[in-house]
Formats: sequence, C-alpha cells, structure tokens
Amino acid sequence: HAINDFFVNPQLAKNIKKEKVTVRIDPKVKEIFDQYKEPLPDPLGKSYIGIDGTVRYISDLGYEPEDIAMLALAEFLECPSVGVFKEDPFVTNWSRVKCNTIEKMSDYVRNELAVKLSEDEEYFKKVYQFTYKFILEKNERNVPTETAVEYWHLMLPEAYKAELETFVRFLEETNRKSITKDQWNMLYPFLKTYHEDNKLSNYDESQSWPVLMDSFHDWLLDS
Amino acid sequence: MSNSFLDRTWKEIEPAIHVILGDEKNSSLDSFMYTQTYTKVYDYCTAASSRRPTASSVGGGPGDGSVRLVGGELYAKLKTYLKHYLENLKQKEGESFLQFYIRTWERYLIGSTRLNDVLDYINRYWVTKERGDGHREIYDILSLCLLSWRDYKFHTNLDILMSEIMEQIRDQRLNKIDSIGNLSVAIKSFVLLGFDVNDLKKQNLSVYINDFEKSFLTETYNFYAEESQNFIKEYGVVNYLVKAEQRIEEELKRLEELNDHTRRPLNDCLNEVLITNHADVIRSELTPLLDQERYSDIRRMHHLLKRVPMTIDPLLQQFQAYIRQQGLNAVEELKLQLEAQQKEQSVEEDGKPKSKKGLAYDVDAKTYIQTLLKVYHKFQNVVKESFENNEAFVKALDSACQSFINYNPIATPKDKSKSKTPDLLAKYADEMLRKKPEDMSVDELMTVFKFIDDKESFEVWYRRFLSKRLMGSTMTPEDGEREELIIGKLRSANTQEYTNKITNMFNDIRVSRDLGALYKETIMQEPNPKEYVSDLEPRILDSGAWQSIFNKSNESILLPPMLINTQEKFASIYQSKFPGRQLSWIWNRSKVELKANISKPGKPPFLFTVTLFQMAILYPFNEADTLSVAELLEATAAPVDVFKANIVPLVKNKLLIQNPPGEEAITKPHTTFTIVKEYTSKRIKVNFASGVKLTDSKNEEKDTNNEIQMRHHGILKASIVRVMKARKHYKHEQLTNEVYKMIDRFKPTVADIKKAIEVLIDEQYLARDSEGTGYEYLS
Repeated sequence: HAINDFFVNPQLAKNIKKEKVTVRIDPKVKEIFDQYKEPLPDPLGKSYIGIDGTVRYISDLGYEPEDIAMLALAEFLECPSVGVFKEDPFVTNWSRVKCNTIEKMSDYVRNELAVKLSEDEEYFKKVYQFTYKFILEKNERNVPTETAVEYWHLMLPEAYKAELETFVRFLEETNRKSITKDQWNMLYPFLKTYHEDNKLSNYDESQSWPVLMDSFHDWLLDS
Repeated sequence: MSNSFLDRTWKEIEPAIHVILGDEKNSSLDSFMYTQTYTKVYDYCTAASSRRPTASSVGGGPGDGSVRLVGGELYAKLKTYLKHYLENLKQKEGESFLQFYIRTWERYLIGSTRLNDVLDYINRYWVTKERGDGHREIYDILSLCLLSWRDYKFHTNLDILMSEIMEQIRDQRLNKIDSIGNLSVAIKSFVLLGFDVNDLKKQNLSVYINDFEKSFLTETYNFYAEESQNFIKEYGVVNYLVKAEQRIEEELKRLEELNDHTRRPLNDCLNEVLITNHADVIRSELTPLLDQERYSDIRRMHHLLKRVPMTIDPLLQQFQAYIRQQGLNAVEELKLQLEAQQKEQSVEEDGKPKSKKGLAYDVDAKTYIQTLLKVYHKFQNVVKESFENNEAFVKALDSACQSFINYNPIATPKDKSKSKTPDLLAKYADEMLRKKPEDMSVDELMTVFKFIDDKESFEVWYRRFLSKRLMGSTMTPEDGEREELIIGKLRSANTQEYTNKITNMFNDIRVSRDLGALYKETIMQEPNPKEYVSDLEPRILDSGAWQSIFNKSNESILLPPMLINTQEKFASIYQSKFPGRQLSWIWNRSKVELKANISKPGKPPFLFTVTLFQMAILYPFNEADTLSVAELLEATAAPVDVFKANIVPLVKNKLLIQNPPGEEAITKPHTTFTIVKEYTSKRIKVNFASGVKLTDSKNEEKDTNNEIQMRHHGILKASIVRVMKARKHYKHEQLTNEVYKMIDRFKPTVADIKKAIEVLIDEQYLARDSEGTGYEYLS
C-alpha cells in the first residue's frame, strides 16, 4: 500500500514514512551520549556534545577529525555545525541502526557510511551539499574561500585533484573572499565537466553554470 | 469506288493546288479556279459516298454502323503531294537558307489557309467524322499543311535553320544588323508548327520550346557569359553595371519578336549570366564606391542586383558592416584627438607628460553625439540616394547605427563594460537645455535615443542632470516649455511609466513653490515676522526620483541660530499640510544670500551667495575677527572634509585670511582665519557657493552607475520571478530567453541574468533542479 502511495504522491509517502517509523530509543546509546556531552545544556535546555566531546568521541571511534567519513557521520547524526552533536538525532539515529556500543558505531562508520560514500554517487552528493551548511559559521551568509578549499581537498575525489588545484589558483589570483552555497553545490558537477573537457573548449556561458565558473573559464582562456 | 474517278479528280485539282500553295512563277489564284476546285472535290465526295465503300478507303472499319463518308483518298493524295511539293521547293541563288525558309513560309502559310478553304468540304465531313471516331492522326487541311511543313521542311533542315537564326541574333547583338523584322517570321512559324493532337485549336508550344527556345537560351547564355566576363575584365565593374542594364533592356525588347513564353526563362537566363554569376565581383565594388562617395554608381549596382533578390542579402550585410566600421572609425578618431588634447594640456600644466597608464580624457558629450550623428546622417542620405529608401536598407542602417552607437571605443573601452553612450546622451541633453546653443537639437537627441539599448541608464542620468537644473532655480518659463517638450518626446518614444519619475520631479518643484508661498503668508501673520527668513525657497523632493540629491545627504551641521525659527516654522507648516510624511533636511544643498556690511565706507553692502555651511562658518565672525579651526569646527559641528570644501572659496576669494597659509594647514586645529575689514570686489554680488566642490561630485559617475546597476538588477529579478512563478519549473536557457524577450529597456548580459538568478537562489526564491540545468520556483 505504501508503495502505491509513493507512486501516486511521493511527497505524501515520504511524510507517512517519517511519521510511522518511530524508533525505540536504546538506553545504551543514551549512556554513550552522556559520556561525551557538555556538563551544561544549551540555552534552549538541550544537551549536546561540544568541541571537547567531539574530539574524544571521534578519537574513540578510531578516526581523525580530518577524515571524510566524519562528514558522513555528521550528516548521519544531523550535526548543525562543526563540533556539535545534538542529543535527539544522535540517540535516535544510532538506535535506529542498532548501534549501542562504540565498537558497533565504529564498524558502522567503516562498513556502512565510508563504503557508501565511495560507492554511491547520490549519497556523496548529499553529504557534499550537507557539508556547506555544516561548515558555515554562525551568522555568516557565506563560507570563506579558505575554509571551502580545505574541505574540497578533504572531500572531492582524487581524480579531480589537478582541476581543483587550477580552480583554487584562480580563486586566489582573483581574490575571491567567499563561496556561496550555490557555487559550492555546483563546483562538484563543474569539476566533473572540467575533468572530461580539460581545456573547457565546449564550455558555454549561456548554460546554467554560476557566473563564478564563467569567470574561471575566462581566466583559463587568458592564462 | 473506282480509282479512275479518284485519279481523274486529283488530276483535275492538282494544278490548282500547286498554284494555291505557290508555284515557281508565283501565279495568282483566280476565283474561277477556286470555285472549280471546290466543286470538283464536292462532286467527288458526294458521288463517292453514295457508293459502296472499298477496302482502300482510309479509316473506319466495316460494321461500325455509321454512314460512310468519302474523302480519305483525296486526303491521302494531298498528303503525298505536300511532301513532294515541300521537298522540291528550290532555294534561289544567293539566298541564304534562312531567307529561303522565310520567303517560302510566308507564301506557304497563305497557300495553306486558302487550301483549307478550298478543301473545306473534306474538313467538314470526312475529317470531322474521322476525328470524331478517334482517329487523332487525321487533321484538318490547314493542320495537315503545317504538319507537312514541320516534317519535310522544318525538322529536316533544323540544324542549318537554327544556326542561321542564331547567327542573325548574334549579329544583332554585335550591332551588325539593325532590324529583326524577318527573323520574327521564322520564329513565329515555330509556334504554328506545334500541335496538340487532341485539340488542334489549342496553341501548343512544343516545337517553339524544344527546337527554338532551348537553343536560343543556351546561345544567349553562352554569348553573355563570354561578353560579360571580358567586359568586366576590360572595363571594370562600374562600366559593366551600365552595360548589363543596357543589355537586359535590349533583350527584353527582343521579346516583342518572340513568344511570350520566353519572357520568364530569358529573364532567368539573363539574371543568372549577367548578375548572379558576377554578384560577388559586383558587390566587392561596394566598399570602394562608398569610400569614394559615388552614390549614383551604387544606385546602379542596387538597381541591377535588385533583379535577383538573393544577391541583395549579402549586399545588405556588407553595407551594414561598412556603416558600423565607419561609425567605429569616427569614434576612434575622436578618441585619439581627445587623448592628444589631454596630453597637450597635461604637459602644459606640469611641464612633463603624465605616465599614467591609459590616458584619461574627458569626452565632450556634444562632440561625441554629433560624431555619431554625422555618420548616421551620412548613410541615411546614402540609403535615400542609392537605395531608394528601401526598407531593408533602412533596417541595415539602423542595425549598424545601433551597434556602433552603443558599442565603440569611447562608450565601451573594454569588451564587457557598460556602454557610456546613454550617459553622454543625457549629458548632451543637459548641455542643450542649459546652454541652448543653436547647433544642438531635440531631433538630434531623439535620433540617438532611438538607438540606445540601455534606456534605463539614460533615464537615471537624465534625472541626475535634471535635478541640478531644477535646483539651479534659474529655469525660465521658456526653459520649462523646452523641458516639457523633451519629456513629451521621451514619453511617446517609450512609455508613460518611463517618464514618471521625471514628471514627478517637476511636480515637486511646483508643489515646493506653493509651499514657499504658504510659508510667506503664514509668517506675515505672525506677531513678529522678522524672526523668520522672509524669502525662503523651499524644495521638497521625493527621495525616489531625486536619489542623486539624497546621496551624502547626511552631511550635517549646527544650524546658525537665526535660522532655527525658520526651520521649525516651515516644518510645522509642512507637517500640518502633509501629516505622516517624513521630512529630512539636506543641508549641503542649501544656499543663502547674505548682505555683508564690509564694504569701503560710502559704498553699498555686498551681496554674498554662500552655502549654508559657509554661512555657518561665517556667522561666528560677527562676534570675533579671528577664529581658529578648532573653534570653527566646534561652532559648526561640520565634518572636516565638508569644512575644508566650504572654507576654501572664502580664503581664495580673500574674504578670510588664513594663517599659516597653505593647503595642508587648512584643517590643522591651530590654523586661524581672520575676516577682512573691508572687502574689495568689482562686483557687488559675489558667489562663494559655486567654488564649493561637493564631495559627492567626485563619485557622481560611480554613484549613478550603482543606481543604474541596482535598477537593472531589480528589473531582472522581478522578471525572473514573474517567469518562474508562472512556469514553476523551467530550464536555464528557456528562462534566459524569456527574460531577454521581456526586457526591452536595456540589454542584460548573460552574466547579469545569471547574477540575478544566483541572488534569487541565495534568497531562496529559486532552487536548482536535480540535474542542475534548470530551476524550481519556491513559493
């Protein structure tokens, strides 16, 4: 029946799915959360894991913070910003996938999230787009170029390394201070195009690429 | 029927037939012979048809159930005879075959017609019956005669006949023979020799077309192919234009001698061989002819090429490109001139050439606009003189002008820079309205306006200059009328909405005048009118239309105490008349006329025109002769740069004496200013205000361009939202196309549109679709 709903009205089906799936909270997960949480709740009275707890937690999982898998983890646990895990999504999501020990969590990251990231293109895109919001500083509209570049190096496939370097050189030379969300989102498909057409000889300004890519194209022609 | 009766009858009529068709002596046919022949044939036919038909009769099988008509035997005899007769016609000595053909044909045609009458009995009965029975190979006597001619005289001699005809035509073309008279007899014979076997009355041009027209056209083509090529080589294109025109005229005259069927193919042939084949060479002369201003030669070129419409398109393109290049050249020349002038000036000023990269130069709007117009008018005249004001050429002219007027070395020094032409045109209008020189006109203004892509930019600049004219307060009623005239023209060239803000500015001035009068009335009723300034000229301006005035309007000052009553009074009058409106004061635009009692004794007091800021600076000198910068800044609370701009003219015009002197000292706290005891000037009225450099005038261009960019951006965003609201989901290219079509007041670039889209994405009005090649509207 739900499948039928999905085809008739995917939006509706999605909502139903969300409402119906109620996860039984595993108290063991909550216990783990409590080991890392800040002593004081946030101004809204909610518990959270702060920067210290995050560092410990990641280390206990057997990871470095600069691992791409940690971005997948952040997406999985719906982190609002770098170094923050909120209690609700943390407990709910780990309970849902039935991971109630550090070992199980570590295995889940290694065998599920990291694997999916390298194999499932759509999933990668989702994590990539999530990352912009994740690294955006509070009260800022855009991500500083420096930060964006750091995360691109971390995330974007090794195959696009040369193209990314050229693009970053362009950003530096033309003194671009920040990257908008749209520019961030479009960089990934752009690098793909650029990788396939290394002189961008088929690049067409009248297509929907952001103006930043147009400028890059001009810059590339000039240099 | 016995053969003897037939033979006898034939023997009796044969000599007459010979005479009728024409014998060697060209004997005349008498009416006796005519009637006798007719009777003999009648007798034979009627007598014979009363007998039993014989197997030798022509046509009709036994048992067809109809009455047997006789005549076939005579018909057969005649047919044989005609062959014999035609084959034995003798060419005279010294006679060409063509002459022989024409001479015998003319006689034979008369003879055939007569014979047809004489043998009419056969026609009426036997032939009609046979044809009625479906025997299409039986003809009436006249047709039989003509067919015989075709078979035994024409076809058999076709080669020599045609070659002689073509030789004649060739001779005519080479001017060796004047008249074509005889030739037309031969040519017309071909028309009569074509038959439609089903309907002998119907004209059939098969012989004319196949045997004559085809080779005529081929010959014509070959002749002119050779001639035109040699002619162009020897005498050049310009002479060829005359020659070709003349040839076409001659050949079309020849059509009188030919069948009308040839009109089309001959036209096509001539067009191809004389025009199309040489179109490239002919068109290549356009540029040199334009260079040499040989407009009647160009008219001839157009007249000739016009015969083949497809040769005109490249001509149009060439013409358009030429005008555009001329426009660009004219502007480039002006630019070099201006740069040279600038260089000279800068050398004069400081004795050494400036090494600034890319010499800056001021563009005189009038010279610039008139340079553009000169090119336009020149080629407008060419379109009239050479192209009969043809619509396509008018369009080519307009396109070319639109291009170089908006994009040229002065307007767009860099590829993607925004065109400065609208700005300069607004400046031109300003100069025209202020200085009223005789060599500037509204027509010139409107001509260029028509070509301007970015009408928005013009409007913003126009308002900026207008605000200065209106604030100058020197506008006479005649000036006002001139202003109105232009606004009317702009409105009708664009839309009502386009001139809304401009019109509102005039309304503001009108309303201000009324408010000024109301203020005057009010203070007169006050117990002590002297507490107020009596001659107040308020300007109440709407910030939307007067944006330029409002830039930097926050420059403030402590109002001299004597003006405070006036300010408060006016504010209260205004608020009671327009409650709910917010009134902001723009002090840096205010001017004051002061009566200064510092003349030499016995002389009348001076009238100083000063800015409000200058008044505030001067006011403390009523109490003290010397004041320091620190004291003056404290008394006026003016920002330092504003203070400096306002005090400079007072020092320069020697009303205040600065100590220590020098530009650098002017804002040092301990520098002092002393007011002169007695001011000297040749004039009673002294204007100190005009020397004040408004701080915003430096950034005027930047500010105005920002305002324009904001307008463009706003219009783009609104258009995009409108499209997306209707479409919900739309591909990038479709969206940009639709937006291009919607916006006619300026030409957005690809980057402009994309920027607006990106802003809308950022503001979450739009989102990219999953493929990234289109957008979704988020409501």
